[in-house]
Amino acid sequence: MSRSKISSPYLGRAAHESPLSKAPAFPLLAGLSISLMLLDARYPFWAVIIISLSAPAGWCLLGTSRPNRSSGPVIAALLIVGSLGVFYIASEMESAQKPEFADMPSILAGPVTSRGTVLISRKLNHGGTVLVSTPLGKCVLKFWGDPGISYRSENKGQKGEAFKPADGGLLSAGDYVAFSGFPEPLQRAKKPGGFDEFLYWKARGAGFILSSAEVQKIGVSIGFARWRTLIDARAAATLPPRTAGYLLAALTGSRDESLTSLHRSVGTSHLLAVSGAHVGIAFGIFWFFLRRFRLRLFLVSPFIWAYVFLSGAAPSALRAALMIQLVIMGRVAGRAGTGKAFNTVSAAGAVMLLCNPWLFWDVGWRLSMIAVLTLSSLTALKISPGGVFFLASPLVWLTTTLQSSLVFGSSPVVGIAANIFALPAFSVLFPLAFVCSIPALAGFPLGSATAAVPEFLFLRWERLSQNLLALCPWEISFTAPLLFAGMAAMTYLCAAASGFGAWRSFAAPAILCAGLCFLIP
Amino acid sequence: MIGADRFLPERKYLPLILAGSGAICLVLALLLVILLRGPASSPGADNGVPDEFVREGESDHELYGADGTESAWVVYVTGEVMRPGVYEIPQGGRINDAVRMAGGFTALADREAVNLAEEAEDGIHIRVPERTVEILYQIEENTGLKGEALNERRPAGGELASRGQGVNDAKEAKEAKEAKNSRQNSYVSRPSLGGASGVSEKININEATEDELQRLSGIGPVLAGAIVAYRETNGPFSETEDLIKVKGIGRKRFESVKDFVTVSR
Repeated sequence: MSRSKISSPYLGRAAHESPLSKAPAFPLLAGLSISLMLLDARYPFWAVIIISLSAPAGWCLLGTSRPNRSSGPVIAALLIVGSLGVFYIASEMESAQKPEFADMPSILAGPVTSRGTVLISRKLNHGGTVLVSTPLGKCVLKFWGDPGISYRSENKGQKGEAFKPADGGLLSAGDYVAFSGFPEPLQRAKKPGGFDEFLYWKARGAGFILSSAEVQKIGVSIGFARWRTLIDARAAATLPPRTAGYLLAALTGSRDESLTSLHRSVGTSHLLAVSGAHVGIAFGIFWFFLRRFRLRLFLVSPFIWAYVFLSGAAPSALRAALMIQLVIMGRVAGRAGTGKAFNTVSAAGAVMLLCNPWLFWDVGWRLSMIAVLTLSSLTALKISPGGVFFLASPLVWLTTTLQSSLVFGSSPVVGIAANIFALPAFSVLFPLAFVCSIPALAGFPLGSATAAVPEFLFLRWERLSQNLLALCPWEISFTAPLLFAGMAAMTYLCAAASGFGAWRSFAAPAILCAGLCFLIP
Repeated sequence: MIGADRFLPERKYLPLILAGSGAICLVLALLLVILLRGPASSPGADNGVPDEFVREGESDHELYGADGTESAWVVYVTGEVMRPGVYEIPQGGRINDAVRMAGGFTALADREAVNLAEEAEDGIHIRVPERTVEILYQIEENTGLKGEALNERRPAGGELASRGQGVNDAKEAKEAKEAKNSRQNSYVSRPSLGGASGVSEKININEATEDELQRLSGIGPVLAGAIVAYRETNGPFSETEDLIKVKGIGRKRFESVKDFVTVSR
C-alpha cells in the first residue's frame, strides 16, 4: 500500500521519521552490544535480558512521534531477533567461561599434536605467536626462538645454545606446520588496560593456546594466507619502501612498523587498516571492469570477498564487505531505497556480532564501527557536502578518541586537522600507487621509475603530516569530560540519523549522560 | 487500521506518551545497570574480568578466606617452566595450578615427569626436569654401570632423579625418589634414557617408524615425522650424522641421540 493511501490519523509524513522505519538495525546492534558488555561484567542473566531489550525498546519509543502501521511487526521482529541473539551470545560466553572443558583439550589429557596452516604470524622479542587453522579448530602457538630448531624459555641466565632470535626463522602466513604442545587456556588481562589475550584471540576465532609449542614448518599451503606472503615478498623486493608499505597495508593488511608509528603520531592510523574506503575503492574498480556484464550485481560479490580475505579479513574490511553485500541484496530484492548507510552499518555490525560475539572487544571493530556510524549519521543529517567535509573529521575524532585513548593511552589532537585532508588524499593515492606499482611488480623495465611517483607523493604527505604535528603537538588522554562529550555527540548523531525529532535527539544523550554520572566513580 | 486507532490515545498526546514510555524504558535500563553494578562486579571487576575468567590462584577469592586471612599456599617452581619463581596457589590446588602460574612448560620440559593432577602442598618445591640424557651419562660415568646393569640399579619404575641441582649417581637418584615419596621436594622424573627407554639396542633411523623414533630423547612427534619425511624424500641416511640435515635437529640434539641410533641393518 502506498503511503498516500494510509488513512489513519496517526500516519503521515512524520510517521516515517522514526527509528523503526529509518534505522531498525541500530536498536538491534545497541541491544547486542549492551548484552555483551553486561555479560562480561557478570550481570545476572535476567538483568541482561531486561536491560538489553528495554534500552532498545526505549530508544524506539523515544524516537517515534507517530507509529507506523509497520511499527508493530518491526518492533516484534526486533524483540524476537534481539532476544534470540542475547540468548545465543550468553551461551557462547558461558561456554567460554570454562575454557578447559569447552573448546580446548584438557591439559591433563596429554599433548596436542596436529598440523595446520598459519593464518597470522606475530613476531615477539624472542620468538613468535602464530594463529593456526587446524582440524581441532583455530589455536594459538606461542614459541620461543627459531621454529624448527629448538626453543627454550627466556629465563634469565638460561639462554642456552639452542636459543636463536626469530629474525630469519619466523613463520609466515600460509606456512603449513606440524606442532605439538600442551594446551593452555587463553589468559585474561592481568591489570586494567592490559593486553587481554583471551579477548584478542577469541575475536580471531582461537579456542586455546599451546604455550612453548614445538613448531616445525613442513610445507606451504595454497590459499589466501599464502598469497599474502607471496605478495608481501614481491612488493618488498621490487617497490620503494613507502609505496610497498602503503600498498601492502591496502592489499594484504601487512603493517609496516615505521608507517604505523608515523600515522599513529598524527592520528591517521585508520588509513593503514583495510576498511570501508579500501573496500569501496576495490568495489569501484571491480564494478568498472564488470560494467559489460549484465549480472555484475552478482559477479562483483565474489571479487569483493576475495579481496577482503586476501587482505586478511580484518573486522573493518569484513564490515565494509558485509555492508556492500547487504546493499546488493537489497537491490536484488527490489529495495534499493532502503540502503541508508546508517542502517546498513548497524545491520552489518549486528550480523558480525551474531556470527562472532568476541569481535565486540576487537579494537579495530569498535573504532571502525564508531567512525562509520558517525560518518553515516552525518550524511543523514541533510548537511551540505562542504559541511560534511569539514565536520566529519572533528566529529569522528571526538567519538573515537575515547576508545583510542583507552587503548593507546592518548590521542593526538592534530588528528582533527590531518584527517580532513588525509582521507581525500589517500583516496587518490592508493589507486595511484596500485597502478604505478604494477610495472615494477610485474618486472617490467622502468617499473621502478613509475613506482617512484607514488613514493614521492607519499614522502610529501609524510612531510606535511610532520609539519602539522610540529604545529599541534598535543595529545589528549582519557578524561571524564571527554567521555561525556564523546558519548553525547555519538548518541545525538545516532538519534538524529534514526529519525528522532529535534528535541528528542537531545533527550537521548541527556538521559545517557545522566546515567553516566552515576556509573562513573 | 481505522479500527485499531480506537485503542490509541488522543492524537495530540500520542507523541508525549511515546516519548515518556521510551524515557521510562531507558531510565529503567540505566537504573538496573547502576543498581546491579556494585555487588555483581566487586571481585576482580576492577579490570572488568569476571571471576569465571580468572584462573585458579589468581582470584582474591581463592587466595584469601572469607575472614580475610591468608589461605593460599606458597610454592616454588623451577626447572623447565617459562617463569620460574615463587607463586601462590589456592589451598587444595594441584601441581597443574603451580605449573600454569609459572607460565607452563618450556619446550624442553619432560612433561611426563610431572604429575599435574597431584595435589600440591604449602611450601613445596616443584622442579620440572628437562628431557635429556645428560643425567644418564653422568650416572654412567660416575658409576661405571651401563645398559642393563644400569637398568637394574634404577629405582622401581625406572625413575631417576632429573636435572636441576645435578644428580651425580644412582644413590642420589634413589634419594630423589625417596624425596618424592615424602612429598617434600621436587619431582622425580622418568628420563627417556637417551635412546630407547632403557633398551640397549640402537634404533635404525632408516627403518624405524615415527613411534619408534619418538623413543629417542628429544625427538617428539614433529621431529619423528620430519626424519621419516626426510628419509622418504632424500633416500636412506648413509650415516647417523646425516640426522643434522633434518630441519629441527641441531648438533646438540644429534649429540644426545647419536649413541642410540644406527643406519646399519
